[in-house]
Amino acid sequence: MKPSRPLGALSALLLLSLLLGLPGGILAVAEEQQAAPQPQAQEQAQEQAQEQAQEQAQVQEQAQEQGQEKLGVLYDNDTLKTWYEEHVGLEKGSGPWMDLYKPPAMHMYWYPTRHYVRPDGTYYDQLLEKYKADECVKCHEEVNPGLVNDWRGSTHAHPKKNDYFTAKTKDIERRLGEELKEVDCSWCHGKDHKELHMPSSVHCGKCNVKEVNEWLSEKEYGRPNHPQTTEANVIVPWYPELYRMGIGQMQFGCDYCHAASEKCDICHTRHAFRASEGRRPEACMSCHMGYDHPDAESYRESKMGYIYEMQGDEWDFEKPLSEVVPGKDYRTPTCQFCHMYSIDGEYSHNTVSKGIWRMGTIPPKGMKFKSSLKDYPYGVKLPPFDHKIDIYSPESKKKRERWIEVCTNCHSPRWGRLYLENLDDVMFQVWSLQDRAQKVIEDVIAAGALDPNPEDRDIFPLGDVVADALGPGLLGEPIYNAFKQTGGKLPVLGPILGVYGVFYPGKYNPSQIERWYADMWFGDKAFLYKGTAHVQQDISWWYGSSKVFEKLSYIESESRKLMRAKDTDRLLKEKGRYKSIPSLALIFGGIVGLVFGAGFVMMRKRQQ
Amino acid sequence: MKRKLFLLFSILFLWSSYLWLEEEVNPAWMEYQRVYYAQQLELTKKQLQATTDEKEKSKLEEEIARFSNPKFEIKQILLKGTATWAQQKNGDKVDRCMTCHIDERELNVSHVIVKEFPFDVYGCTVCHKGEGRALTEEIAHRGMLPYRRQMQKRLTGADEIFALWLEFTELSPEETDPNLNPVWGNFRHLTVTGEHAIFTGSKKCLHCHAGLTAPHVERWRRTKFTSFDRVKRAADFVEGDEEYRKKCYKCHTTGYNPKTGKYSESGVTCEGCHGPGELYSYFMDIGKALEGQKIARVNSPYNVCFDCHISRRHEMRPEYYSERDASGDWWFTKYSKLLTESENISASEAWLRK
Repeated sequence: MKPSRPLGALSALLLLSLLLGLPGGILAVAEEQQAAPQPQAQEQAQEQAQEQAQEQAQVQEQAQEQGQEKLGVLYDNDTLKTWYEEHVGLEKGSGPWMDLYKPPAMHMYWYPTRHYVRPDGTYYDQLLEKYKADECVKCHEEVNPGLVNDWRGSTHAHPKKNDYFTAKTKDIERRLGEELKEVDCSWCHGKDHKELHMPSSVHCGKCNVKEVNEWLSEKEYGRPNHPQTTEANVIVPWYPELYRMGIGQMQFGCDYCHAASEKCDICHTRHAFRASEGRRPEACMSCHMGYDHPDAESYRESKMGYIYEMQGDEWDFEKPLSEVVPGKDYRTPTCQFCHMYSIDGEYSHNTVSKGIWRMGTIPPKGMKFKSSLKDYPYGVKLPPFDHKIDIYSPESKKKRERWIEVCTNCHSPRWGRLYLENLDDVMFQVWSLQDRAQKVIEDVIAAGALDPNPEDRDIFPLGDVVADALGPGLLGEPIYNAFKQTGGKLPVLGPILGVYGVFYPGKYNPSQIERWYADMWFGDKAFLYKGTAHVQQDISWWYGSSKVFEKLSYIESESRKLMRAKDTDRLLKEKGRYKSIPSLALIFGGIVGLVFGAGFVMMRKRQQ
Repeated sequence: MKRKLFLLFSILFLWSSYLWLEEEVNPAWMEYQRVYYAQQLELTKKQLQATTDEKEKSKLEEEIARFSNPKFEIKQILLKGTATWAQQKNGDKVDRCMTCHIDERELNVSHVIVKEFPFDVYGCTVCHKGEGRALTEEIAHRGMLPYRRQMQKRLTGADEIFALWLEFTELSPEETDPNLNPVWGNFRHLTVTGEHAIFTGSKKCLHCHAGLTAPHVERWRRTKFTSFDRVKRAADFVEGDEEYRKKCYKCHTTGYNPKTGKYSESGVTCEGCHGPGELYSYFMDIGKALEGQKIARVNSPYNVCFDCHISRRHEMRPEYYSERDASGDWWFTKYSKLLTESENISASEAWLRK
């Protein structure tokens, strides 16, 4: 038996299996060898394994081809296509309110598919006298050395820089039917300045099929997710309303993160586009921080975050997540290690497949509400706000099993399960306080004590058009009627439209008590939720629970003041004191006049 | 003096009688029904205004007549069961929950997952506990488990789930054939909330059992329970539509649900024989492995085999059989194939030797 042959075959197989992303292949080879000790049988077994590998490659190829067909379907129906995909330059906005606002120029970079405007290309002919058409780099090296050099260090510039990427690149080559020496500017930006475009996730998906398809699969789990962030940004009525008020560009902060529908470079920054960068927690942190989702803070300040901060630089982020050995490669989990472990029990480019509480903003089933939260979603048919969250549905339970699997990498399964149940209880309890606050304000509204009264304020964002635009089918009969009757001058509270309170500066709208409520529901609760979920106790308590209590006390004492003011007004009106003042003055003046008159007359008489 | 005393007691007696009668005539539960019927009346009146269809109109008018003159009564479900009698328990169980919780639509909305659940057979208290016979809120809701989180907390040991299955069995004797289903009838797939327990996936099981019950797992790995990989490549499967493929899913996948046409995992894995893993996983996780073991013993996998291992099970694939040559390897495991090649014997013989 020649030792080199099986070894060679073995390494070839190893390569094959790596190429296919099938670490199981290695096991299969080992098994085959055990099962067949004779050289002849061994060869046979290897042949068989090779055959199997080929078959698997075919299956994989088929799957990828199918994926290719599916790809590019960021918006899967005609309405959505006209809302978000159809190129309109900067003449119209995106989404259902596209006619109500014109996007500012920078939107061409945030949402290029729809809004990109090509620079005037006449100068390009002059450039061509000096440069050839395929010499982008030569010129741009002088103009923008940063991006060119950045690209030079990328895998795009060296697609076969190591075995791992060679295997991946060969896979892509096979699919595209051409050789890839380097993925240069023209692959993403077009071959000519006259056809210049900005790449979107769909462009990236031409080569990185698996990743983009998995990323697109986030949509199956409903919002919030990454492919639909653009929709989430512009579909809300306050977005165009702010443009109508002339302050739309103040929403720059919203636009920048919510461009994640189209841009892979939100996580894998250009022009290096490193997978390894995407595996580091910092990739998430520039968006996932602050008021409504303090993921960065709660992770970074937790023990997990500190271990990462102290030792993370030594870890090998080139390794695919599925090959990471917890405790050895990573001493503590990263965002990706937990959140990209998918519902199928594999690592996938889908970060939301295990989401149960979905940011904690939608009321859960399984608790007794006293306020109108019990009627949520009030007949609204706009997903994802058309149902309460079901924490114990079969899907959610399956997600929980996967979470426990993740936790069990480092903790006992009991710890994992009890911790998640603890998180559930925390959330149910904070929702009971949310319910209490909502009841208090609803009582104020019912008593007509809200100050200023809805009639005296600015309308709810787009309150004048929202009813006609969406209709009773989507809004639900009660909400539709309310908007229709009041023309948008109505108090709106609670999930989900009530969040306008933190997005809208109408005159007297929202009032203090409503703004506190929105803060409690959208901001403080998020700190409690994320602080607890990411094991950052101080954020959970001081910025979460304690702040929720604070807002509750503000709301409850404010409600007393409002009710008392209303009562005072009522009493004053009831006794007619306002109206009787002139007549009282008249009577009083009359009496005084009479007394003085009589006195005067008496004096006169006495003197006589 | 006597007269005055007599008068006083008479007044007291009359007063207490009045209080009693008022409670009798106008009990607390009637208020719920009154509100409900009033709501329904309003709703149907609105519907009547909206419709133009004559048939619909007459139907709605009938309903309005019914709602405007409602019959207030105690709604109760008699929970019968022969086993209850056989065990000499006292009398029928009664659920009167629907007397107050009269809005059936609301119940359907909140019980969306157990839509097929026959409330009229099993009532409410089987899952939710509480006092089914009581008619005042305070007493009826005593010890009640209103939501799934609370029901889950009930699950402290295997005995709790056995008690639930037993109660289901008692309540539906006609569905429980002791010859076919010796222990707790068809209810062993139910979890503590009365819903179908979830399939957790074999990965979760193997996390511990690859070490705990290694020989068993190894035997499973080596046998043809991974047949779905072959099925996926079979010509008739590839060409067949989803309806045709469903016939394959039934036996070659785990956790197949004929209603939704979806399965939990390809191949026959742990849960294919041992039943859905939710309860095992739960008890294993919380450090009560022995409770899980108790359930595993009850959930005997032996009567599961014959759901698939029946003769003529592939009769739907005649083309396949006519095309298949005698030595074709689809039918035989790779081990028997190895035998045919190394010892040069026919495939069927190798199959027999194995």
